[in-house]
Parts: sequence; C-alpha cells; structure tokens
Amino acid sequence: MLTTPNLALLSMLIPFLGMVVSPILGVISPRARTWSAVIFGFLTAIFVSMLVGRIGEGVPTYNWIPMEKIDIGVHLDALGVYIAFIAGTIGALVLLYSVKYMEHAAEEGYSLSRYYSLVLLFIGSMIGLALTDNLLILYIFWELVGFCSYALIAYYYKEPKAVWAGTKAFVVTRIGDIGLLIGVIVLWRATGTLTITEIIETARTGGIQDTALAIAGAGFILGALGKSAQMPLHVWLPDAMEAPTTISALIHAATMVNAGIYIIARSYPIFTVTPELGWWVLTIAWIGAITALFTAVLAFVEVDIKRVLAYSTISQLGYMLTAIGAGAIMESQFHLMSHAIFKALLFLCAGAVIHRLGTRNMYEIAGRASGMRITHTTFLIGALALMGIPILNGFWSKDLILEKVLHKGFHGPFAVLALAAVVTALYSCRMYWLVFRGEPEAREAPWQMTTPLAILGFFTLVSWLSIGGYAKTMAESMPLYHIHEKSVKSLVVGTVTSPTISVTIIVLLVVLYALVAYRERFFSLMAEETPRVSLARRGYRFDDLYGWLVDGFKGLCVLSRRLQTGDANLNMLGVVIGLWVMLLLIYLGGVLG
Amino acid sequence: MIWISEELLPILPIVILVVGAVLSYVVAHLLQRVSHPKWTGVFTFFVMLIALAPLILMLDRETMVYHLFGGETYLKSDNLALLVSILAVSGGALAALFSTRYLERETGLEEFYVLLTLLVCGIVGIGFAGDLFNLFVFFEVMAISSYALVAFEKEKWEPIEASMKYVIMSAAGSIIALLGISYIYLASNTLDLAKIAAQLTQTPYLMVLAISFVIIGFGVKAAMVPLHTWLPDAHAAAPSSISAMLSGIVIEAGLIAMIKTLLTIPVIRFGLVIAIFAVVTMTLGNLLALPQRDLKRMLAYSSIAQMGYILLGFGLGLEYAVSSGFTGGLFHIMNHLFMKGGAFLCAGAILYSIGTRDLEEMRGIGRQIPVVGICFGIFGFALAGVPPLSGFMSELFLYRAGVDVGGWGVIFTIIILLNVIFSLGYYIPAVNKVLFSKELSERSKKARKVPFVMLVPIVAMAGLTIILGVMPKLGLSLVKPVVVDLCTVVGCP
Repeated sequence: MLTTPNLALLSMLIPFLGMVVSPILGVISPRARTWSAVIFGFLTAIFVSMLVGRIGEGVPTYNWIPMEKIDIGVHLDALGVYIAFIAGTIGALVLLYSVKYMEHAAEEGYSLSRYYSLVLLFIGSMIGLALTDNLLILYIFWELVGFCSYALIAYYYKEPKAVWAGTKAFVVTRIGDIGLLIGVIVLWRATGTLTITEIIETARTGGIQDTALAIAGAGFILGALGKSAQMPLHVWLPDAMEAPTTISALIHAATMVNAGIYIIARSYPIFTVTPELGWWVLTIAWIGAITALFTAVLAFVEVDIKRVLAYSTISQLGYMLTAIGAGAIMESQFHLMSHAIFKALLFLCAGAVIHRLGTRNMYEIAGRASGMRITHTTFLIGALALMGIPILNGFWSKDLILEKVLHKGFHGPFAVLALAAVVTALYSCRMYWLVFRGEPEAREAPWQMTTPLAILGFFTLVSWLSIGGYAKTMAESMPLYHIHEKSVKSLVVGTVTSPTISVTIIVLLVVLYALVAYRERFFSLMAEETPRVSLARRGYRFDDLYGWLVDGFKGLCVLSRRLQTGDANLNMLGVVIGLWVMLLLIYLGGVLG
Repeated sequence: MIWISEELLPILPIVILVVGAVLSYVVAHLLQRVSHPKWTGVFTFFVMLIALAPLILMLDRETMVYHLFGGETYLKSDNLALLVSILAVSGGALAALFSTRYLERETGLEEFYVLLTLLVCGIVGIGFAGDLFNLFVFFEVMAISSYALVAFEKEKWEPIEASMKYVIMSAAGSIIALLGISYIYLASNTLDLAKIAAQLTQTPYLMVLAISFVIIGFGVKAAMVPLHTWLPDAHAAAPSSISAMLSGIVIEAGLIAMIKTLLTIPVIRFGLVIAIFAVVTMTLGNLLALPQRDLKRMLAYSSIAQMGYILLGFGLGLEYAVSSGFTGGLFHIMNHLFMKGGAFLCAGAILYSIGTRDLEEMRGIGRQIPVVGICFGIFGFALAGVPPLSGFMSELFLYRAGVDVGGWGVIFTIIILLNVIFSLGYYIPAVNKVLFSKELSERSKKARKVPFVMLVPIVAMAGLTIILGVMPKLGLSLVKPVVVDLCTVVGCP
C-alpha cells in the first residue's frame, strides 16, 4: 500500500525521475519523450492529490548532513500540501497543453527534451519547496525554481530578448534571495536547527533575540519580494513573458511566484511572536497593497496581452501578500488557489490565441479571436473571475481577503486594494474587448489545448465550493495560525452581509458603465503614446533606474582594470604596499589592541 | 607483493611521486622511439592513482609521524595533510589525463609530466611537512615546477612574459616568507611546528614582523590583493590543465602553508587582518572579472574572488574561533578544485576545439560540443553559488561564519553574499554565450570534436560538483576532522 512517507517521497521524486527519463526516451522517439513527460506530470498530479487526504500525518526524517545535524523532513500541513497540489495538477495540465503548443519549437530547432526536462524539474522543485520542513532544503529548491525559470524563460535562445529576460529574472530574484538566505542563516544560528517546526517552537517560547528576528524578518520579506515579483523587485516578471506561453502559465499559476507568498505564510508564526516586530506585518500589508494598485494601472496601458496578464499576476499577488499581513493566512492561500486556476486558464487561452494568430499585440489581434468558441468562453470565465464577479472563484476569495483586511483594521491597505479592484475590472474588460470582440477569423485550437482550458474553466466556476474542506484541513493541521472553519453556507452568508460587498457592487457598476459608454472605444483607448501612457508603459521607469545602477557598476569594473597594469615593477610595488599595510594592521591590532 | 612497513606510510606518497616523476621521463623517452609520448600522460595518471592508495590507507589510521634523517624534521600524516594531498593527487590525475590529448602536438612532453608530478609532490609535501624546513622546501618544489609549467608553451611570447612576472613576484614572496620563518626560528629556537608555540619567547615586535612576512610571503602564492597581479597572466597563459591545477590547488596550497605557519604563533591576533584583506580580494577579483572577454582570464580573476571567500573563512575562524569559517574555507578549497578546475578544462577543450579564448568568438560552441557546453554550465552555476551545486554548500558555511561571529559579523555575510551575486554578472553571460547564443560564431561552425579522454576529467569534475552539492556529507567527512584539529588550536567553543 502507499504509506504516507512513500506518497510524499513519490510526489517529490517522480518529476525528477521524469526529468531524467523523458529525454532518454527522446533519443528513441520524440513522441515517447513528449507523452512520457505528460504521463510523469499526471502521475505527479495523482500523487500530490492523494497527499491532500493525508494532511496532518507525520513523516520520518532523513539525516542529510550528520556533522551539522541537518535533517531532511517532510511537513504535511495544509499550507504546503495545497501549494504542492496546485503545482502538480496545473503542471500536469500545462504539460498536456504543451504537446500541441510546443510542436512548432522542434521545427525551429529548439530541443523539446530540454523543455520537458526543465518543466518537470520546475514542478518537482516547487513540490519539494512546499513539502519540506527544512529551511535549507527549502532554500535550495527555491533557487532551483529560480534556475528553472531562467532556463525556461530563455528557452527561445535564438531571441536575444529571451536570453536577456531569463538572465534578468534570475539575477533580480537572486538579489531578493540574499535576504532570504541571511534570514535562514540567522535563524539557524539563533536556534541551532533548520527544521521549521522547531524554529517556530523556539520563537514562540521567546528563544530568539529580537534583533535576530528583525534581521531574519526583513530578509524573508526581501526574498518574497523577489520571488513573488512585488515592488520594487517586480521588474523581471513582465519581461519573463518572452518565455513560451505555457511556461508563463506555469510561472504565474503553479510555481515560482507562489513561492514568495508561501514563505511569508510559512514564516508568519515566527515573526509575529513579539510586538517589537509590529512593522513586519505592516510592511507586508502595505507593499502588497501598493503593488496591487500600481501594477493594475500598468496592466491597463499595456498592449501586449501576455504583459497585461503578467502585471495582473503581480497585482493579484499583492492582494495575497496584504492578506497575510492582516493575518488572513487561509484567505490568502484560498485566493492563491483561485488565482492559480483562473490565471493558468487565462494564460493558456492567450496561448491558444497566440498560437492561431501569431501575435501578442492586442491591437493587432483586434477581436479576431472571437470565433474560437471554447477559448472565447473559457477566457471570459477567467476574466470575470479576475474581475471578482460573482459567483466565480475569484470573487469569493478576493472578497474574503478584503473582508479580513478591513476587519483587522488595516484601513489604508483596504482602501488601496478596493481601488485596485476597480482598476482590475477595467483592464480585464479592455483586454477581453480587444481580443474577443471583433470579426471572427481564427479557428479553434486543437483538443490537446482546449481540454485543459475546459477543465480549468470548470474549476474556475466551482473551486470555491471546496471552502469547507479547505478551511477545515487548514484549521486542523495549522493550529498556530488561528484559522476558523468555514462552510459554503457561512461563506455565502458572510460575503453577502459584509460591508465589503459594496466593493463588488462598485466594480459591477463600473464595468456596466464601461461596457455601455466605451464599447468600441476600447479599440482606440491607449492606442496612442501620450507622455503619461508612455511613462506607464515603461513601468514607471524602474527598469531605467536599475539600468543606471548596472551601468554604474560596469563603469566601476572597467575603472578597476587600471589597477592591473601588467607592469612587473608596479606588481612588485603591490607586494611592498601589501607588506606595509599588513605590518601596520597587525601592529595596531595585535600589539596595541 | 612487496610488504611495506606501516611506519613508511607517511613518506610513501612522496616517494611514489618522486620516483614516478623520474620514471615518467624515462617512459617518455622510451615511448618516443615506439609511439607518441602522449602515453606518458596515462602513465602519470596511474602514478597519481598509486600515490592515492597510501593516502586512502592512512585515512582510517591515527596520525603517523615519519622522521627524516633521524632529526627534528619529520613528515606527519595529520588530517589536514591527508585532505590537501588527496585533493592535489586527484586533481593531478585528472589534469594528466586531460593533457594526454590536449598537449599531443606539443614538444617537450617528457618534461611536462615530470613537472606536473613534482608540482603535486610539492603540494603533498606542504601538507605532510611537520616542520618549517620541510614546509619551505616543498613549497619551493611546488613553486619552481609551476614556473616552468606556466612557460611550457615556450615558443609563444605570452607564456614567457607571464612566467617571468610570476617568477619575480613569487620569488620575492618566497624570500619574504623565508625571512618570516627565520624570525620564528630566532624566537623559538626550533623548526618543529608542534613545538614552536610552547617555546616562543615573548618578543611581540619580532612576532609582528614574522606574521606579516609569513602572510605576505605565502600570500603572493595565495593571490591576496594587492599581491595577486601575477595570477591573471599566469593562469591565462599556462596550458589549460595547468591553469586548472594552479587555480584549483596551487594557490590554495600557498594558503595552507601560510595557515600552518601562522598557527604556531598564538600570541598575536591576526585573523581580522586576513579577513579584511579577504574582503578586498574577493571584491576586486569580481570587479576585474566582469569586463574580461578572455575566458581564461575571466576564470583567473574569479579565482582571486574565490580565494577571497576562502581567506575570509580562515580569517574569521582564526580571529573569532568560529568553526564554520574553517569548515567553509576547507570545503570550498575542495569544491573549488573541482568546479574551477573543471571550468578551466572546459576552456581548454574549447581552445582545443576552435582555438580561441575569446568569449565573443566562441558563441554557440556549447551546441557543437554539447558535453563540454553543459559541463561548463554546471561549473558556471556552481561557481556562482547556485544550489544544489557544491559551490553553494561550502559558501553556506562561509555565510554562516559571518553570522556566527555575532553582532556586526553579519556584515561579512552580506559582503560575501553581494560578491556572489556580483559574480553572476559574468558567469551567466559566459554560460549564455557558450550555450544560448543566437547564432554560431565563425569559429564555432568549424569546431572539431573533443576526444573522449579529454571529456572524462571534465565529466568527472562536473559529477563531483553535483555530488558534493547534493550529498555534502561525503566531502565534509574529509573536512570535519581537519576542522576539529584547527579548532583545538584556536579554541573554538
């Protein structure tokens, strides 16, 4: 029988096995490679789905580095298992979708073995990240996820832009990772262990100094900002759209960006033990809210459909971050699941459109995709969920967040988020209009592509019905988070009677107004580059700022080359100077000090 | 089978290497009559393997001592000696294997393998030396063989110039180190490393001079800034297998010699000074590596940076008695041998294939010789400290060392982390150029196949880079006993 430890091991190892096996099969036949990758993906999905039934069970640890007493363990609480579940299932659907979508890549001379291998590694790393209870292992998987995103964003390596975008994603997220790693090491030093549950235990009994907690807390935030693309480290995500659309779906829905939200949720009990760290939750809440609003505005002016979706992801992640700041862990994770489903759906729909029409520019698409029936319908479902229109999953989870943020007294972030909700509705309308309202021209995509769309569309409609089980498992397996159980009934009643329903009503009114007043004008809206639009299209010039920094750094490097003269006399001068400095320092430090 | 007395074990590796060096010269001459001298490389490879045997045997035993000439000078098989020797010999074996085909068209191969074997012998001797006399002699054996090896392609102008600069600086360094050693002798009246500490007379000013001279003298070899200026020229100009050895173990051997000598002088604190020099070293190394277009030069500068990380570990370990500093430093020496050695061998394979070291001219070469390309990617990411590769695991302990110092020590962690991120700025573009470039360069189109024998060491090193990252306990089992020894000297908690 499948015991829980075996099941956990299988769901972590199967993708890695697939990573190795599928390219080997690729030597025999391309079909064997492709379909074996899909099968490995679905096997993983099945195993992680089975894990959902085992939430709360214990798993023995493995002694990884005995000299340092570092154990690898698996922690099956609802928080990690659901993240792994999302990664596994959406990953499997993306793999199925890739069968048709990526066909063209082989014709253009790109290796599909590399593609499938890396996708499986990507999924496996994300599952590992979510399930492990060791901070170091978590960090290693965290970096592996980053590496996969680099290699996959740069998949079309003959496009210099893609290579540049991949490199940028890797470097920017690694800057955030400095913070996370320092945080991990500080906690390791302070508690003598890397096991998350033990660290939480020590923190709650007051065993960690406030300064150590403060450094680690700031570090974890920095790490999450990089990975989850929050301001000001969000710049890599829009450019990451150079990746194949399937990879964008994977990054945005199933892997990568969820990691930042996960780590903040996971470390929440550590950094909320002392009132000294009150700034921690406030910082998170405000960063999330500000990011949600500002990037929603950017989504409104974008011309590239994938970049609209990218900004919309950043914006939605902002909601989740704010929710965690307000202590609404369950709500944030619930929204993460809703978002994963509808955002994967939107990306895959966009992929189908791009597959047929060959452009990502919405003004060029100009509604020609309207004839793609399944794509059209499912995209509309996804867009409505993104707007937060009842009764789709995005509505319930977003409303839960708003409710909790208001309830916890975070009035500032709440107001910003409510405004962001209106902007979200506007850019979603605009995107839908530009892509699907026009003369039908494109044919429907093949079944390998529409099947995942239909599945995701269905779950966008119904996933919120799982709230009962979802909240129950969270409440039971995560006692430290003070989560209350919820049923579908209490969700509906609670949502309808809460004051935050007014936000949805305003959104609905705005959407209706936009539809009545604008309609055809969407086609000319933002089509021209006014100075303000242009500023927004350049992402408020964050990129330029970082560009200057990089240029300055490069200048410093070039300047430093002057030190390497190649003149043997000057080389010897170096030895003499070194000797004098050394004498001086040791004299000062050793004899006098 | 010849029965060998157990007491002879400590001297056996050195004897095997010296005899092997002589024999390889004979073998090369004999082979020249019948076939190509490239088989000497295979012979040297086996000499290294044979030398490895007594080292492995000694791993399970207590520390053994072998007295030379019945006097004060002796060889000692302590844990540090075994670690350094095993690394040097295995690195030497892989370098010899790589050279068989890499240098097949060169003349003077009979000298090459003699020098390579002596180079390894010198490093093994530095590890085993129980007294300052042996330490210095073996240090010079290593240094002199490396001068000649850098200038091996003697008909070219570049290696000669590089070797000249190297000789001048390194010889100056040796003299300064010798002066420092003589001061220590003056103050303690013994050369025995184990006895110096007890017999030191209280002469702090003399000791300040001695410590400074030892650090600077051996520091030239260890490429501390501002004593590093010989390194980029020498590493770039040497044959790639020698660059791999220089970067992978020779500069580290300089550091080991320095640390072995310094540990005898516990009266004055100098760890922080080393740490400060380490910070300058890593920062300047990374800054200088970024604008390089010559792959081998870039790797050479990155060695300076990596040396900075190692130095920082030792510096913090010595000053604040944090064991993680020693763990990180020693483990990084091991990992650096394989990842940087491997990267240099990849550069050599590319040079062999298309005859250029220029990164622009090797665009897309990874697609022509995929094994080399992928391994180069692995080495690049490992050097940039990306987990789960070995470079990350050792750097982890170095990061930990800064935090372990406590208080403001975290600044050291931040500095080294920032440096690791800076280093992405040149590793990733290099990997991108080799693997992910838009089109093949003119030269890459005409790439010739890299022979199997050259791929073996590269793949072995790449394998070790992954294995030591995923299963660090394999490497740490060699490193940890050394850390325990060092800790007893400096008194770690």
